[in-house]
Amino acid sequence: MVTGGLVGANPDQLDELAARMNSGADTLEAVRQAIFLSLRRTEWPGPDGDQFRHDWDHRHARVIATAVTALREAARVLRVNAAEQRGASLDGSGLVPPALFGMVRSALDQVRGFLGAGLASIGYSRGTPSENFAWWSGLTPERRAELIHEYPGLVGSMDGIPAADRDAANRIRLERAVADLPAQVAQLREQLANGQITQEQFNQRALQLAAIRHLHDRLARGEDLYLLGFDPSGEGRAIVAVGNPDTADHVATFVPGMDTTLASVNGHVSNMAALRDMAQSLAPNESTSAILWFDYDAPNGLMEAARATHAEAASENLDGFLDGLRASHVGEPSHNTIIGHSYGGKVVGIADREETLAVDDMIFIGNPDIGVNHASELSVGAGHVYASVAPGDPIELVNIPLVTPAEEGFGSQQFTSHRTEVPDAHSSYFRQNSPAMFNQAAIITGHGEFVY
Amino acid sequence: MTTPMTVDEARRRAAAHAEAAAALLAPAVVESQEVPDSACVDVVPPGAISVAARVWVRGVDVGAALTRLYEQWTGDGYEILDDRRAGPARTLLVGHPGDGFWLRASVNVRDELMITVSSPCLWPGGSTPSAD
Repeated sequence: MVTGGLVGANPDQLDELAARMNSGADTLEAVRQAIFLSLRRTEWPGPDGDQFRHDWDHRHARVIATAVTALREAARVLRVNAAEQRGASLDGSGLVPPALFGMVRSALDQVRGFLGAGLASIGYSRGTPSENFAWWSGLTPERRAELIHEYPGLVGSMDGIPAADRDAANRIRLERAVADLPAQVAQLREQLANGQITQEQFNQRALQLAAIRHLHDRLARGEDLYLLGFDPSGEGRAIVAVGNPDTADHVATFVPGMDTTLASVNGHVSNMAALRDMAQSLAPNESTSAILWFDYDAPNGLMEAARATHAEAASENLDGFLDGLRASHVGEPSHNTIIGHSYGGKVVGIADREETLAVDDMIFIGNPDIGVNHASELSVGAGHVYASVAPGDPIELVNIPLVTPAEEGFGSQQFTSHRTEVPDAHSSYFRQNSPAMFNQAAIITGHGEFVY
Repeated sequence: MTTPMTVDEARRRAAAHAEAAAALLAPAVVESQEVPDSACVDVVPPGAISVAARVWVRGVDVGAALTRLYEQWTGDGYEILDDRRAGPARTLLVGHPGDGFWLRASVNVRDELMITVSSPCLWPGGSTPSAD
């Protein structure tokens, strides 16, 4: 949440925030147009319908339009501010006026209120994951299909919606992002040619755009993947399940650490596929789903990772997602595990402290501190907290004031990652065949007795 | 670790290691299984992967089979990375002395023996690309 002046802010972050604001504006505008069309198509005779149409035309639609304008204006000012800071000529004139952010906040509050009440009145709902599931279950298949196509952004990000339907909605968003790639690439080249971005920034963004196509092609190949979340703006976000979590006996959710971007997603998905493979080999009678959950703004670099702000901001999203897994699961509750790697462990620890995560076991690998000092402070209880740090993992060299999960005093069940030092130790926890992989497979399938 | 080897060559080598290990346990019924590649995340430049192969070995005494593999592999100079044959995990992990592939023999909850072989990190294009 932006809180005021931006003296000294990182210009890249300002640009990213601007991109997110523009993306939000696009989404709101799309919702406004979709509702407009729906209202025109929906037969709703009588005074209630008349009243709603009147309210929509004279109040709600205008509120959204105001919010769209405010977001776009704020984004424009942020870009100006970023450009001025890059030019090292900041003299205060580039500061974002606090009044502008006040306007954005106010407009968004009104939109939020409208989306809660207004959308519900025409059949949409956005409640708790359980309420979302109940609402969705009450719709006809035709209505669900209609909503998926008309509101892929809403359906695709709504916790509690079944995985297959979220996947269908997010694939529409992914298709749109792929269709937009040529324009994005052209814009990037133009920015590079005009000196608006550096070659390094160009390369980073180009990698992210390539990753969007790679993810698209991979999903199109028919792998057993479910796209449970997708946002191409900024550094991007994605939630990808290998195997259907709604029908699996065991569900593992992996939270990656700092420097994660869309460009990292495909590698992490491959590792989730390998983890699932190992799990199903150990317990062939039971099914497993392994999920990459990258729905937070991961810190860039150690300076940002030293702070808890990114983790605190992620808590609500992670909690809602895990509650959604419980809500949409078919039959007996699955055995659910959360895995936090590096800074991802801090996301897990803080989210559990703040929200109490709906999981049965927790795994922490290669972590700094995780926001709690002892395993018994976590909701699953010390007997269900597993931790490891690989020999040679440089995370051990970081000066951390709190107890880390793999330390003796933390009270976790420690397991072996590697017997000896391996290259790239901090990223080695999903190396095929490694003790780390074997042990995680045993934990996520509920076979703690195999862990060593 | 990264190594100049093509993906196809690594797949062939992984399959050959797995089949050679299974052959030590003859007579046995051997079934091959495809295994997904895993990613070597954070290895620079990006895109490095590890490929793998697996065989299931049926119709053998799994305890005796693990002992047989241990004896052969130690005799051939394989590096013992983890020997958990005696524990609940019933698993043995070794490193091939020539090419750095890892071989894991393990027994699952159905008392079935599998041998999984994985390559070191490599780039799909073969030789290590420059970081430029």
